[in-house]
Amino acid sequence: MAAVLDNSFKPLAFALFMLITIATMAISVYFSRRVRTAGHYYVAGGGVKWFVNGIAFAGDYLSAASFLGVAGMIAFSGFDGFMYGIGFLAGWIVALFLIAEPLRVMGKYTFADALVHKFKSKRVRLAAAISTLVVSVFYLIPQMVGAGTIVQPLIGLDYAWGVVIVGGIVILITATAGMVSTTWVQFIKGLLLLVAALGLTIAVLVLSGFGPLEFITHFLENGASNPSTGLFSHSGDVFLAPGIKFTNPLDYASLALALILGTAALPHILIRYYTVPKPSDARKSTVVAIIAIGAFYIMTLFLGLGANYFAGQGEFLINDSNLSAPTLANFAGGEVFFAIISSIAFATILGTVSGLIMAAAGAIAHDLYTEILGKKTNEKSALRVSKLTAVGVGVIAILLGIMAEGMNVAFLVGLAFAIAASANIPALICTLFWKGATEKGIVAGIFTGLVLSIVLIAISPTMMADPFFSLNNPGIVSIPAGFAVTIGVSLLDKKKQEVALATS
Amino acid sequence: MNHRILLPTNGSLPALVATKEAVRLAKEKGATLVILRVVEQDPAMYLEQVSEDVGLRGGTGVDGVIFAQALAGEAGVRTEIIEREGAVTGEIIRAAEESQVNMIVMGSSNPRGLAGLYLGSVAEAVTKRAKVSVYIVKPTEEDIELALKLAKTPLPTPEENALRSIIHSRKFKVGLGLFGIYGVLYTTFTVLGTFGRDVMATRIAGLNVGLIMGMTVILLAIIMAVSFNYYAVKVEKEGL
Repeated sequence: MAAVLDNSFKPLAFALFMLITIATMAISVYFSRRVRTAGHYYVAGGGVKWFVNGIAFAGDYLSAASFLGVAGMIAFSGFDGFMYGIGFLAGWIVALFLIAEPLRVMGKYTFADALVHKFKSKRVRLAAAISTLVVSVFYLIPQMVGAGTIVQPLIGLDYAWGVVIVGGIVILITATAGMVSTTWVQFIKGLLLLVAALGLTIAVLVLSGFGPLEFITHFLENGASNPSTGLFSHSGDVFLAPGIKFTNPLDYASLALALILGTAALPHILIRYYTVPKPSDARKSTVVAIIAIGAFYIMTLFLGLGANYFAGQGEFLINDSNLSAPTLANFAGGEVFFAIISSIAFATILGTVSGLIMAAAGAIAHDLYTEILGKKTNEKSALRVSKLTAVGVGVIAILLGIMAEGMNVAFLVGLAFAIAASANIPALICTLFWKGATEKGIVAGIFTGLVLSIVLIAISPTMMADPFFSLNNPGIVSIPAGFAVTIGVSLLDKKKQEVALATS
Repeated sequence: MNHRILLPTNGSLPALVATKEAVRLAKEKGATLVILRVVEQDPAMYLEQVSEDVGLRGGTGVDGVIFAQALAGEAGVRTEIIEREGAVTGEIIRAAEESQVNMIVMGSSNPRGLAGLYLGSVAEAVTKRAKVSVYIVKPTEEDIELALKLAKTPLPTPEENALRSIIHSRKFKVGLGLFGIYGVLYTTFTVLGTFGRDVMATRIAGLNVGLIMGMTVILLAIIMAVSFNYYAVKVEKEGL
């Protein structure tokens, strides 16, 4: 009889979960002993090797959004879910060819550093710090949702408890150790996640008895099921072409734009560029990340389709799209495999959350406290402020995570990408590649992108039954607006300066 | 006839003031500015340098050539750059003859109010030996303040220079080219997904256009990343 995952307490699963979580903590504590200065705390003293950093990128990135969200979206919406994976990877191409090396040359600790280096302005630093903080919080929400979703069947805890546990552990990690530990933690988890996805992909193909391409052909010929009912609801042609999720075609374009520009704008990704010693290392870690993440998204296609296939075969049902991959693991390898996969997913969420909280803590402690308020007392007090920030941001994320229960995590991440791309990409691109950018232009662009994208989300179909704005993802409007304002204000500003010079 | 002005500069304050004047003159006459930097090799010339540094508040830490280039660039004045090693006065005279300039513009190194320390002025020596007119700019306090201000604002930091050298490197341009190719494919993929959904659903070889394009976009990203890195490592090893 087909059934969904039950939420009972499972001793074996619980034991494995504890083991993986405690191992994570142990690594953090071990490396925390080496943290000495504020520089170490933020970015590992610039001494992390590029290969480790590259896999850690993947660990940071693949988190809940991909393993739970994209696989789930593919299981429920077919091609539209695959589109998320393609877009998530595309963002890395922007990072590799346009951002990685130039950014590594310009900055010290944070995204704001690079901008301030050029403009020597507190207002620019303030804008960048606020944007970092807001984007971090929005990106934290899906991570929390992923954590909450996965602890229910894993150890029989309530959704809210899962969120609280993740938040609590991460606050502990970041408040005690810092970036070194998160880099190593992310490295190990990135590796585990890749191995787990490979194992699950092989399991899908072996159990279904199809070759990889044959498996896809089978879907086209026989149609797809609805994994929550097990009934066949879509023809193969409909399921494996755009349109199930993106009923408004422009939503597809909007998401595509947000995803390709979003990656290079994420503060916890940007901050990782400073953990390697040289600009060329920044490039090499990006290449490692692209290989790992690209391979992962191809496997995700099989995880999602696999979940759909076996639900259609009557093996199980899925009541929450985020649980597609874990449910598939439970079917393919029993409770042990399910526990391992879920614990790894949980651990990656831990790592991603700590990376985000680090970025937010960096923005507050380094940019706001030390640089803007001018509290150049000593590194000790800056470190204390960043730890306090970590606690504060963690608590906010826990509350928002509890509120967002039941939403697909990949979708939520898509929104965070749109905000990041709207606020940070115009500033970043114009600072690095356009001599005409001025302080006022950058500040105006950051705030325009930030505010407009959030407002558009607030009046979108996601938040309102009777929306004012018909697209789910605001990217196609707010990203060009960010660029237009940055360039427009810069040009006006420059003209004004020239007039002032001429008359003086 | 093409007018040419020689500007010897060492980045000192009088030299910066002279630079401003030389650029103004060059613009007025539509002349080419020949910027000369002499690196001293002869230890006997050291005393001359000391006398200048003492009298003129020492070096400014400004690269005189870059400063002159930046100023000339802003004014739309053509420039040539000459770098020499040897005795300052002799090299200035030689450069003036070799590059056939019509005029030399340089800062006065006569330290005002410190006559006792005066050991000999390069400008004076050049005036005596040069075959063309020498315009010696005597900076006022105001000029010095202005030159200092100018020197402080437009010069890029080492990081900005590093950024510029990355952006203008061939490696980066190759990356941009690859990005362009990827961009075209990704845009096609996006446009078809938005407006050409029937095309995406068209079946090919047991799959459909959308899936094949999607896989291609992923695989192309990996192939590009690996081959770009291979190329970049090679370029970096050659030290280009």
